[in-house]
Amino acid sequence: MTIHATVGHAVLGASPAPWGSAGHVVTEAADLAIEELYVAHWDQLVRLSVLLVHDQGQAEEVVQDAFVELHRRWSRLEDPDRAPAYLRQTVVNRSRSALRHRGVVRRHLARQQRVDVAPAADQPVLADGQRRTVLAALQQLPRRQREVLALRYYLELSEAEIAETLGVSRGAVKSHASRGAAALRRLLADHDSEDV
Amino acid sequence: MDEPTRHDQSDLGHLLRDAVADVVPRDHLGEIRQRTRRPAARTRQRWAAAVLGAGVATAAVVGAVALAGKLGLPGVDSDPAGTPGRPDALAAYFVGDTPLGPRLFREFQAVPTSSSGEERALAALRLLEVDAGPDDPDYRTNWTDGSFAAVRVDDDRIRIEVSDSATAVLAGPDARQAAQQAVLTAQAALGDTRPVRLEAAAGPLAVDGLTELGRERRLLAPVSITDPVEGHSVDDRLTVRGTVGPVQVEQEALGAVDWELRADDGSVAESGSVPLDGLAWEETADIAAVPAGSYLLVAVVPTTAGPATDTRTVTVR
Repeated sequence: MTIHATVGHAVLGASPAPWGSAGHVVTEAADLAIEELYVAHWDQLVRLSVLLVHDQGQAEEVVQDAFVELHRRWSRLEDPDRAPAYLRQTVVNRSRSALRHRGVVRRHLARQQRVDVAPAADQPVLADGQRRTVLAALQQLPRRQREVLALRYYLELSEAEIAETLGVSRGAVKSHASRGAAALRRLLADHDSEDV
Repeated sequence: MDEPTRHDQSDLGHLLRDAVADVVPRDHLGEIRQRTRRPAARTRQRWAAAVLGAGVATAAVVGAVALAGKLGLPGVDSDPAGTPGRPDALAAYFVGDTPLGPRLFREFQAVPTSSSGEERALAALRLLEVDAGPDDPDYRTNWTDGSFAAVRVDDDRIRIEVSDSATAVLAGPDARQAAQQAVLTAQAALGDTRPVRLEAAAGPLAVDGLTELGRERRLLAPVSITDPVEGHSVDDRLTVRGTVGPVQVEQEALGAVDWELRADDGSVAESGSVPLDGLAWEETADIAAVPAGSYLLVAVVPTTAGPATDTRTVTVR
C-alpha cells in the first residue's frame, strides 16, 4: 500500500501545530490524503458496506460519512499509515448504526401503518439470482458473523486484522468465522435444494 | 454424509465478491470535498445522532467507542451529541446446543440507560433480533430484524407488540423456543415475572394454543456463564460466575459446577469446582501463573444425556 505511506509522509512532514497558517497546511494535507484514500478504497468500502447493510444508497452514505469523519480527525490521527484501518473500522461501525436506524424506521412505520415495510429501493438493482441469494443469506446471519465473513472473505483480512477492526479476540473471530461460514453454507444449500 | 456443495468454504470469497460485483458505487468525492471544505467543516452525524435521538438501544455505538479506545484510534462518536450515557447491562436469552437439545443461554449486553422499564425491555428484546444477536459465537437467535415494536406493562401481563414479519417466527417449528427467548428477556429487563402476551396487528398470538406465556424452566441451559463476557481480557484474577438450570439441580442433585481454562492446544491452564448457591455459582481464581494468551473458559455440569457446557473466549494479559 505505497499510497498510504505517501499519505502518511505528507502529513508527518507538515507542521505539528494544527493552528493558524500551519493549520492550512494540515488541512491541505488532509484534503490530499482523503482524495488519495478515496481513489484507492471508495469502491471496495461501499461494496463492503453493501454486504453489511444490503442497500447501496445507504452504503454510499455510510462510507461518505466515514471519509468526512476521517478528514475531521486527520490532525489527531496517531499514525496516518493506519488510515485505511480507521476507515474500515468506521465503515463497519456506521453500517451497524445504519442497520439500527433502519430498524427504528421500520418499527415506526409498522406501528403507524401496521404493515411491513417494502424492501429498500436499491434492492432490485443490487443483484439477480445467485447474487441476491447470497446477499439475502448474509442478512439472515447474526451481525457479528456477517461482519467477520465480510472482512475475512471479501476484504481478505487476517484474523488479527479482523480482531482489531471489530475489537474482539482472535479466538472469537475464529469461532464467528467457522459458525458463520457453516450457517451461510447451510442457508445457500437450503436455497439450492428449494430450486431443484 | 455431507455432500460437497458448490458453496463450500473455499468458494465463500468468490461468492461474496461476486455478490457485490455488479454494485457500481456512485461518485461522491464532490460531496465529500464540499463537506470537508474550510472553514465550515460541518459533518453530518446522521446515523448516530438519529439513532441516539430516538432513544434506541445502540449497543453497537457503545461498543464502537470502547473499540476505538482499544485501538488507539480516534473515537467514532466522541462529540457530545454522539456520546451515549452510561449503559445498562441487560440480559438477553439466546439459543445454544446442549446434549439435551437446544436450550436458552443468558448473555449480558450493554444498551444505553433508560429510566423507563418498558423502554429497557424493548431495548433488551431488540438484542434478540438477528441484526444485533449474540456476542458468543456458539449462540444463535430465532428473531428477524425489526421483530419487536413495543412493550407495555398492564396490571395482569407484559404485552409485547411484534411486527407482522415476526409472526412467521411464532408459526415455525421453533415457536416455543423463540417465545421463551422473548418471555425471559422481557421479564429479566422489567424484573417482573408477570405472564407475557405477544401481539401482532391481528391480535394476540398463540404459542401451543396459549396466549398468556409463562417461563418454561426446562428450556433453560443446564449451565450458563454470566461473567466473563465473550472476549473479555483479564490480568491475574479471573472471576467466573453463572447460573445452572433448575431442572439439573433437581434431576442430578447438582451441588457444584466445574470449570476449566483451556489453552489453544487443549491443555488445562487452571480449573476449579464451585459449590452452588441456589441456582447461582461464583468464584474468583488467582491466575497470575497463567501465561498471557487466548483461552477458552469452559463450565461443565452433568445431564442425563452427558456433560453440558457453556464457554467463553478469554484473553489473559
